[in-house]
Amino acid sequence: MKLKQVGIVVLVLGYAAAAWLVWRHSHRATGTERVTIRLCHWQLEGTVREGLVAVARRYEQLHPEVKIELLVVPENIYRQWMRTQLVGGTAPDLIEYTMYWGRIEELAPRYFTPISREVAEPNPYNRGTPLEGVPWRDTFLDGMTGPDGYNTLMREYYAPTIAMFTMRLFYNRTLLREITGRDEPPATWREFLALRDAVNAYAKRDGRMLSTVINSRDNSWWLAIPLLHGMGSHFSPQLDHDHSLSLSYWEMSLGWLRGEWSFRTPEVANGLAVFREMGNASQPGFVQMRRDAAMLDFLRGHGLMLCAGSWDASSLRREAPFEVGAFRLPLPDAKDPEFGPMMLGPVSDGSVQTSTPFYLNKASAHPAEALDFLRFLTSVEGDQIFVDVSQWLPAIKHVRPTDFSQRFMPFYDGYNWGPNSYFNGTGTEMTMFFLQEMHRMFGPNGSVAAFQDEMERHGSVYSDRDLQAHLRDSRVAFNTDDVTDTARLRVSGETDRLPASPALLEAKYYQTAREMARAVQRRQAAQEAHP
Amino acid sequence: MLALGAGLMLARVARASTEENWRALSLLKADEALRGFEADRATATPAGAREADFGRAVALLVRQPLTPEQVEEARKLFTALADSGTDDVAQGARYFLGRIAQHHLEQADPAEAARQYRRLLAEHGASIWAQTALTRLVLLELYPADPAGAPAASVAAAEKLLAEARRPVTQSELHLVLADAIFYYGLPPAEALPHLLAAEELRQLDPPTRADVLVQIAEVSVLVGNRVQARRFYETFLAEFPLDQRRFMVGQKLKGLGGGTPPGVGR
Repeated sequence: MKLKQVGIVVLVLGYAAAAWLVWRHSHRATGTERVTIRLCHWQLEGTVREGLVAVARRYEQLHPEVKIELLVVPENIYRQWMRTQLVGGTAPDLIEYTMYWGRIEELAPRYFTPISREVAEPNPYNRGTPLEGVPWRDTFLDGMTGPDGYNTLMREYYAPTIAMFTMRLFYNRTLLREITGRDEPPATWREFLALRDAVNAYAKRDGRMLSTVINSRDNSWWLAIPLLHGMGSHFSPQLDHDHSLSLSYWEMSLGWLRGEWSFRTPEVANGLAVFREMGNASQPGFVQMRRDAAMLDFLRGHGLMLCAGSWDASSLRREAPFEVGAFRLPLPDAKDPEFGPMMLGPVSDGSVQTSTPFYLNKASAHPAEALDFLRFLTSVEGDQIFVDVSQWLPAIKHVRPTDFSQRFMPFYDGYNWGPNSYFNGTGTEMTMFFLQEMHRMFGPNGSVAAFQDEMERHGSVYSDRDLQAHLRDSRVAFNTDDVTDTARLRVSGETDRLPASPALLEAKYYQTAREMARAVQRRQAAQEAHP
Repeated sequence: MLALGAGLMLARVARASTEENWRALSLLKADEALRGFEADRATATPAGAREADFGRAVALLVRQPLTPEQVEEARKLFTALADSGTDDVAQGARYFLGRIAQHHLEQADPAEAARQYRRLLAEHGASIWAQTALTRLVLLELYPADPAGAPAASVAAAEKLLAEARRPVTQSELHLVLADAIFYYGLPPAEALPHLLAAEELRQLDPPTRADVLVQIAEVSVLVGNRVQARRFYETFLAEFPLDQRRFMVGQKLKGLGGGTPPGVGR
């Protein structure tokens, strides 16, 4: 009898324990305390920080239960700071990062949450706007197809973006008038060269230290991308093996490995020649200068123009003691006597690509709230608030640029072969090598040939590093996809997608590995032939 | 009744716990998932134990630092699971045995990977694991370890595997990689056209890939002299991707085909 009673007690206790466990699994703790969402970024330009603050304050009005904390970390220490925070598990909920800094394949699966499912749903903050009911990803001007929005290697959407940029030459309108008697900037490449000569003559006559262009290492990077890409557009169809009218990373990289292009390819060499002219029109030592220092030089009147992106426009408007104008660098056109025969036609500003992406930290304690803030930030209302205050160009459809930022809208009616430029070559290592060696082109003793020689001597060391890193990162991404997709399949049971990376991407891995092996064989054969 | 209720409750808890472990793994929280699966295994039914072992093995493939010993531990677990049943776990385990041979070993073993994939296809052809394995097997055919082989023969061998594709998503993947291999090997682009058309018709492509495929079909159609088809796909591209960077270039191509450019080309 006693044993039976003990059994019943055990059973009741077991039932109670099971019921408690079920309750614990199905109920989240609800607290009344305010949730804090932290967002980090490096945008110290003009009124950009204020733009983000304005959006955050509006969101807090709508959601008094949420507090948005914005952390601004200077660009020069941002990456190291972010890495440390991520590794230490103390990184903010929302993190600005750009894949242009490289290694996103390694970072994304480890630290950032993909939001593919969420971006397929409408953004609720767009109710009552023309974007009501439109999938979130389709509300972006680029459809979130930029490299940060959609990661082709991981086959996932990651980071919503809030702005769009173009590269421009800003100019001191007062000084231009003084030198040329005109208000209007040059409209063709030849006019630009004539203006450079006029500036040099003016400086000599007045005994002034004055450069045509104030440039910097940072901004020459952003100048070189569209410049080399645009000048190479006549040659680009030869690399477009898959007939997509766009050069993929692999077409560019494998083309380099196969020797299909180099910095001696005539069209690419023409791009370098134009880049050299730009460099020679810039202040001495610009290859070592950071963009902030270059802007100061321009504001002090040491140059007629500033090579910068539209991201700096609001800073210039606020700080310049003179009237500032802006124009698009006129690349040589089909009528140009020197480069014309190798120009296809007008060159566009590049892809419609939105930027300033924010990734959702996997370790966020409040992912739902963080994601909700991202939805608001990239809604018509949120992006309009940001654009109005920051003076940046919008990333969202139906958001109007300001009268001031309107002039920086991209020019699209021209040839463009995608986001991969000859400047970037095979990736980050080669880009850094380009920047490190570009000084060989400039100055009285510099030449395009000196740069080409250096690239020919050592370029393959850097391209090999890029491609080896790419193969390594690809294997990590395939493994990560296998595991995370399997895990999702076990939870959801959905069978509309295979639990693996897209086979097309894995095909690129095999192609890259084959081409690398062949390149090594070719180099060995060449070495044996000419020891 | 009370016992039955308690049993059901505990089963529900076990299921919820397994789900939580997989959720943790979907976020690459491998340590957390491993601890969970190990705890589950101690109290699980035989089926639950197989699921927990599968989970452990999968988690071992991403737990940092990833060592060869850890991969070997995972391989042993997968082998035991694959050889001791025919259920979904056994199929998944065999798929992972193929993946380990393909990508995890210091020296890849494509022959072993292909053997595992072929066995999965032979035994459970329609399952999601076999269909996924098929997309990897095609790659091993297309890009054999010995690069001296004739590309056309590799493509032909891979094309034969299309017959094994039972799901639209698999068919779509296969057609895409076949077209891509034809371009990569420099074989006549016209040979890629049927694959591109098939991939487009299957409607399985994500938007960026669809944009590429529409342009590719149009471009290759021009090369083979099918101007009507080229025009149709250029126009579909313009209609579906109003903000794509290639809009101007496609507009120029359409002009080249004659018959005017659709309104709205260029901005």
